[in-house]
Amino acid sequence: MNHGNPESTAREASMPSENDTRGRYKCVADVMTRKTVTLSPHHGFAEAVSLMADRHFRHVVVADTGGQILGVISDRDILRTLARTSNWQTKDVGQIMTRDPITVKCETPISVAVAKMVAKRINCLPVLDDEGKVCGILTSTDLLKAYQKLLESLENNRATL
Amino acid sequence: MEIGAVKNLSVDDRGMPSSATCVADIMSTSLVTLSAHHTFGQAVQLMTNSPFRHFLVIHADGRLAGVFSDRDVLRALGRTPNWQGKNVSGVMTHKVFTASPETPLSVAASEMLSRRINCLPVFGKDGKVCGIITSTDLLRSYQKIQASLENSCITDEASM
Repeated sequence: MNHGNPESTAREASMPSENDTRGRYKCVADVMTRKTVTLSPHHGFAEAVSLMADRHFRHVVVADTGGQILGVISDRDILRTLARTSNWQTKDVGQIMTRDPITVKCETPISVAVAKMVAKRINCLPVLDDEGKVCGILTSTDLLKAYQKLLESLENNRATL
Repeated sequence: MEIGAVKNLSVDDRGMPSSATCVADIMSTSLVTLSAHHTFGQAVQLMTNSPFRHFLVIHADGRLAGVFSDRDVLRALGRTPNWQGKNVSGVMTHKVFTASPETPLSVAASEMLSRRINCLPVFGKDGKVCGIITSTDLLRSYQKIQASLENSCITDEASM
């Protein structure tokens, strides 16, 4: 496919069909998790703990009955409560969740979402539609998957040059 | 026309930040370590008060005993009735997956994803721990390359 000639390489590089294009995502909607688990603020601490321990997620969106987001509860919130509160058994989700979480929209560029996550030291961003309702969740795992695909395709392209 | 520009990124940088390719490029070399005899309570306190989610547990002779993560804490909480009495070695992950400084980032990322873990201790050729690579280190690296990809898309679209 190429013979080390810089000119032909440059021409080939502009032909998408010749490239491994996996991992070329642009915006949050391309990589987010659409299935989300939601709790109400009235669920107990223990319910949140067992949900996270049994299933494989670390973040749960807290929403009211109309689907409007109230907060996010993460494994970090649970740890913090455990370390600092003696009566953690009696707490409910509404008392320990992070209120007014940082959110993104479907069309937010991925780099902006990653920058927010890293700067704020969080691992999930609820994704809201135009009416402010939760339409998905973007986690660090979603982003790692996307990065992994991108790395593989870059390695692939490097190998074929 | 975003794809052509992306290809160029791996061929020459076009003045963009060069992309990291192996673990040594992005790993953290500052580590927080615990001994296996620390109590569960001490470890949770330490974790709450530090930005780190993973601590390497080191034997007295310097060998790696395990990794203690926030997930281990949660699991212990959900499944162990008397977790208050446990020490770190009773809760930590004993079977640790590791990387070397030369491991390609794609391999490190897929190891983390398939094992559902967020960190890999990094061992040098001498068999000693020389760093740790976490999912956050990978995300930082992703952010840089993704931003330059998005920028080159915009440039390409504008020049068409």
